[in-house]
Amino acid sequence: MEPEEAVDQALEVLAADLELREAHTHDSHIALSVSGLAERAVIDALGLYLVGLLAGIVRTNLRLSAALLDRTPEGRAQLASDVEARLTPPDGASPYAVEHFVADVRDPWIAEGIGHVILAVRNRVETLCLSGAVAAITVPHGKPSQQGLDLFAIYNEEGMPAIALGEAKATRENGSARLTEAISFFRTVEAGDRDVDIRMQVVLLREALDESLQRELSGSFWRQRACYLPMIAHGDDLDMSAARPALLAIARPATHKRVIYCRPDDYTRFFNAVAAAMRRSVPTINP
Amino acid sequence: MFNRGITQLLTELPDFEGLDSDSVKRLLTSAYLEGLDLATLASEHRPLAAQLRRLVTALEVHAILVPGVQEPARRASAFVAAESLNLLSDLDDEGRDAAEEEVFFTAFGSRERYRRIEAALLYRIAAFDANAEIAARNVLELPTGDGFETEQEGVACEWALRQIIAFIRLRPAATADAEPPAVDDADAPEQLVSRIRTALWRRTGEICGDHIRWLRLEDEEPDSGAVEALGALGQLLESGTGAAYADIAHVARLLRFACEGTTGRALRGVPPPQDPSVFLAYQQRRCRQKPLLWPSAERYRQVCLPGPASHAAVSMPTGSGKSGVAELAVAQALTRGWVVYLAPTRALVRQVRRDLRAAFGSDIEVREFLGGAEFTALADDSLEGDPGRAVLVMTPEKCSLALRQSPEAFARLSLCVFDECHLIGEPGNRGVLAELVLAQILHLAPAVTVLMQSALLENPEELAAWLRQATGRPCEPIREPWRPTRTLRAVAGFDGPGLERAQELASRELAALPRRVHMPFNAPLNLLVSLQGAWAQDNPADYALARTALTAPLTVSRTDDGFNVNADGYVNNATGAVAQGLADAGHRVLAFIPANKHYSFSVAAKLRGFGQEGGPDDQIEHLLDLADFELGAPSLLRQLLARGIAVHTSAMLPEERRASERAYERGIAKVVFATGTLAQGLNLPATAVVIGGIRIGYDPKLSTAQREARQQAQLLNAVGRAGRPYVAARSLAIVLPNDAWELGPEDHAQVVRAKAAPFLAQEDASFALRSQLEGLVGQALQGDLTVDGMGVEGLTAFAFLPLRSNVEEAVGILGRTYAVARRPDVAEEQVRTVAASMVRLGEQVLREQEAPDWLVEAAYESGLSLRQVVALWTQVRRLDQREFPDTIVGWADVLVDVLRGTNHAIVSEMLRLGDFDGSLMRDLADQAAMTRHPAAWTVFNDFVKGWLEGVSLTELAAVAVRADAAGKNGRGSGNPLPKIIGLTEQILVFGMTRVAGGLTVLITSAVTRETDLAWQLAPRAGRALEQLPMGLRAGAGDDASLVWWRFGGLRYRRLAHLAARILPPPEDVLATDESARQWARGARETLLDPEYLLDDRRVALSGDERKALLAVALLNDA
Repeated sequence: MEPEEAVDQALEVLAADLELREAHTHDSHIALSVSGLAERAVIDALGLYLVGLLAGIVRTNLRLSAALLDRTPEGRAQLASDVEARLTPPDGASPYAVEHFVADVRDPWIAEGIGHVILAVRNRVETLCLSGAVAAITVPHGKPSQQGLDLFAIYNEEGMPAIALGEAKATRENGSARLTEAISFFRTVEAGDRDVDIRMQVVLLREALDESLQRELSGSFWRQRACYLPMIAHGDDLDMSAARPALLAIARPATHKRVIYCRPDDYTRFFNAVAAAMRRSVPTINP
Repeated sequence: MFNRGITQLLTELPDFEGLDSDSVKRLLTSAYLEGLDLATLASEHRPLAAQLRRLVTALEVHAILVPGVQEPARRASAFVAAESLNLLSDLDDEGRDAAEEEVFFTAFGSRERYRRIEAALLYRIAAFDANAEIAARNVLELPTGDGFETEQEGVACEWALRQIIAFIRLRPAATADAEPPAVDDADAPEQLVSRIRTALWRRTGEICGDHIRWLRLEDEEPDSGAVEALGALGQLLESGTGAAYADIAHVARLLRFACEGTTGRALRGVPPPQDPSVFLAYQQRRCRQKPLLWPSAERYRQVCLPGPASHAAVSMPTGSGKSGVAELAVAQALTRGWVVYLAPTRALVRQVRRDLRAAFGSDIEVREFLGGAEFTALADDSLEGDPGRAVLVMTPEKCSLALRQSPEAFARLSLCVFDECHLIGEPGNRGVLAELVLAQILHLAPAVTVLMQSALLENPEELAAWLRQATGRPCEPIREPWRPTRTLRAVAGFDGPGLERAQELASRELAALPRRVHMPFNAPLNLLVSLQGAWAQDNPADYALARTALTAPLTVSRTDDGFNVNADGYVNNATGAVAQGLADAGHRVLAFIPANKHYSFSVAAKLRGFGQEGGPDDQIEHLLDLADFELGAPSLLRQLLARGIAVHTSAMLPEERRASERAYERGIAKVVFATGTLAQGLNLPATAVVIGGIRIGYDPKLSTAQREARQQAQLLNAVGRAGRPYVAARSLAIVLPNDAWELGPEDHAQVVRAKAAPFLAQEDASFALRSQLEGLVGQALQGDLTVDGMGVEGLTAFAFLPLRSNVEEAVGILGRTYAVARRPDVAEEQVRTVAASMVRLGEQVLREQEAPDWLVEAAYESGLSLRQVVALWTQVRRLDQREFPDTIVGWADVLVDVLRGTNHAIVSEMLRLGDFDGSLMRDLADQAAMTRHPAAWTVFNDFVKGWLEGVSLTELAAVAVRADAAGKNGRGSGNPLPKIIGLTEQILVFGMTRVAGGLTVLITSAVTRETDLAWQLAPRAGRALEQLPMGLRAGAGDDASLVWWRFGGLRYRRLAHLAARILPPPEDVLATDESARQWARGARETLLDPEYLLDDRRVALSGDERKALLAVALLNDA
């Protein structure tokens, strides 16, 4: 099977098995829970999809490298290296970095990946994630040294482009704090502090939009069409569907602030399983 | 804040709900005001900032990402996005956490750096080049974080930034940056992204470098390839999987549109004329300095080039690149002949000459003709033969002399540029003279192309119709309202509650001091601002009241009724205080006090001033040393400049004015006080203009309508001085009403406008240019023409036109006037009638006075009216040849004698006799007193003699103004020094030189034509007479000092005398101009050798003399 076909199939599985349920609608936001993650097929599909994402990045890098550098690295090795870089600490990392790698690097990256999957699925099927179909998504580059937006997509809202901004967090035991962090990120977005990043991301996605959406881009920004998506994967016992007064301070309709959360039955096992699935998927994507 | 150019641009904005031109202007103006740190609107900051951000993103996206956007819409969107981004920087400066700002950002090291570059590139896309440069200024000095993944990425990013800044500044990066940094192509998979980023920065920088080189004409390629290369880079980067390069993709996209825009506006793209040689050389040189056309020049290029293929009448705002338009026309026209460039003042003539020399270098001769309209038989500044490929810059008055003396030279004139052509509409003699000069040029130079330019012109179409009719060739009216700077227009008034509180405190303080009568206090000022531009709207939403940190002084006085506020001298004091306040807040202030030129020094003297910044400026010191020597007393300007305050009025010496300009240009002076008349042509880098009262100097000769028109023009011109390109994109113009008043939220803008500053309702270009000759033409056609009824305008025409019995030439000129073009009912036949009636009138004047016919020629040659020449002749013919002197001073005596016998009314036409008021010659201003008190003529004679003998101005003031004036250097109203400066300029340099020209023509003509008189002029007498007009201009009454003035480069009156004393020219070199010139060249080197000047054994000099000569030797200020 061709890698693209494999990724496509994985996305089909995810579209079919992942489910977003409305847990509660508040004045401030809508809370959506994600279910279906525990299934083996879902974990496998997730692993493969995430490696597919990385492969996309690798392809872009190789294309750029061929155009700009004297030497272009070998693709297989590069993908293997990129996957490993997200799953294991680098050689020579400090003991502290090694100790915290899983919590600080691996799991957040996988959480971002899940967020990406949720947006990608909305490209195929109708879900509660967004009120319209996703037209284009950027792939998180995962370089902690580089700023940027974790999750950025443009979706079709009643024929007009709108942006979807996601901020993904993974936490075994402190879901509330991570959600607060995500909300404060959106407050900085609302204050305009991330405007430059948004303009940059739109440059990346423009080509992927059909011409009618491209034409409406500026009008959409004028109308400030945007949906904020805090995404939290947590392991602690926390009622994520509860009211969040901090979200009320962000002056957008509740329908455009959607808290998406998932609580795997066994948090650690779930992330380990996804990591393992990723490793298993490398030969499929990189035949 | 926004003129009609911006309003027009904003009509191109995308059609979004709630996004209209007016609301955008309101928002941007409010943001500017809030960012000033000086004023506060009632509204909150946050919503302002949020709205600006919304504008930035929506409109930047529109400019660079939406397909199918047309160029005007792209420019409009980019402009508003850039402006908003730029204003956000100022708004965000307040309360921003410094630590947050230091956070590393992947592109250019910090977000603030990135934001500035983004704004600069958007300005560049919008064709606001000067604003782009300002936005990117000091970017490299901004703090950055350090977080690049590899060192080489950081180095490459910084290098690319320097290349981008070089592109924004349109100058190549430093030589050290010529080579891009290397990319270490190590085999380290984990660093692949960083290596790619390094290569991308490198590529981006290289493209910028290539594009700059292309714009600067450093290669022959038809295209720089930048747009294509950046497009290719975009293809590589713009995909969802390229998030690691989103910043570079964004920069590349902005750069792509910026390069595309600059390609279209490149000077190198201007098509050359048929014979391209001169133009190509100009392009080659100028592309290195100013490679882009501003929109005004772009427009001129579109409609008039190559060629210029047609005349043009251009109306464009101050500071929007008038000289760029003229340069293009000159560079193309020079291939066909020479160019005359008319400018209305000597200061502008100098400035134009400097600018043209910078543009053309030594390839083209650019000559400045600085004399006036007076006749001179000397060869200095005269046109001889074909000037070749040269640009001659002069005033219309000087040109009128050239047209009279060397009409044949105009046959090969290819272009006439008339800068500030609204001069034609000026009442009095100047407007008429300017119109006739242009008409005669059109008559004498059939192939000439005309370019008329003005910031005030409301009706370029009518001027275009004139030129079309007069020449039968096409003429393009160009209205280009684009301007690179914005000016907020505000009216100031006291804050009512604040005034009450301050007054109460002062009264209490005064009450505690029973022996005191007055207590000064400062009260806070409010500003009522227009959120649009001109105060033309009546919608209250278009105005806002701002509370400011500015204050103005008042006095509370003890009276029988208690304590009352005394606002005497309010407007001058308030002007000083507001200027001080604005400068304290970091502004560069230009303060106009239009009522009286003497107030500027008085107000400046009272100002606290500023701490000295930077070291002393030698050139300013040299200029002041020269002024001291001419004045014979220390210039008061020195003390003011030491406190950071400059003054610039007509009651100053040119060296003092230049010292003020230089001090202001270099930031040594933070404030300059000037008069409204000087607003025109004053090209100083102001970020704030204060207009202290709207009364302008009274001129009894003007009608109410003319006075109002002049007032409006002067005040608008003053507003137009704010905001110089490359200094500040936005500026502030504050009008202080004539009288103290309160200004609160309840005051309606319409009422404030009507009461305080009606002119604010007008845009720059609000002057409908009318011919001042219309009255004369009308009178002549109706057969009502009389000498007594024709007014100054008619008399000027009478002086200018060749009113010979053969009327062809006069018909040729009159038929090409604006006055005739505006009368569709006037055909050639009627023009003949007008000319014939003027000729008849002349003949009548001759008959009545029994004057000879040749006086018609004499009048034409001298530039005086026939009536004036006839009146002079009645005195001249009585002269006794035996009394003909052989010195300049001797002829000056004769001249004064001739004037003494001439009819008062005629003398008052030739000299501004009203200026004698307040001097020891005041009787000359009054016809009855003039004859009753002949002593005034004796004083006048001494005044002329003292001037010619090189006495200092303070000594001359003791002779002519006030007996105790010697050594007094006061500059305020009523002081003798400003009075004598005005008298020497107006009466001697301007007036007497023309009369002296008339005397010269009359005597030299009479020698050959009046055989009955049997006059003979001995060679020495003849030469001295020839030198009289120039001697009066130079203040040189003897051959030796005049040689130094004319040929020794000592165009400083007293220094020419001093040089003549130290190194007198030998008798034999005085015989001809050529021998004198050759001698002076060598003598100058000797004289100005500092070693010579400092050697007491070789030359005995007083301290002041030595200083002044050393100043000339060391002065290199252009």
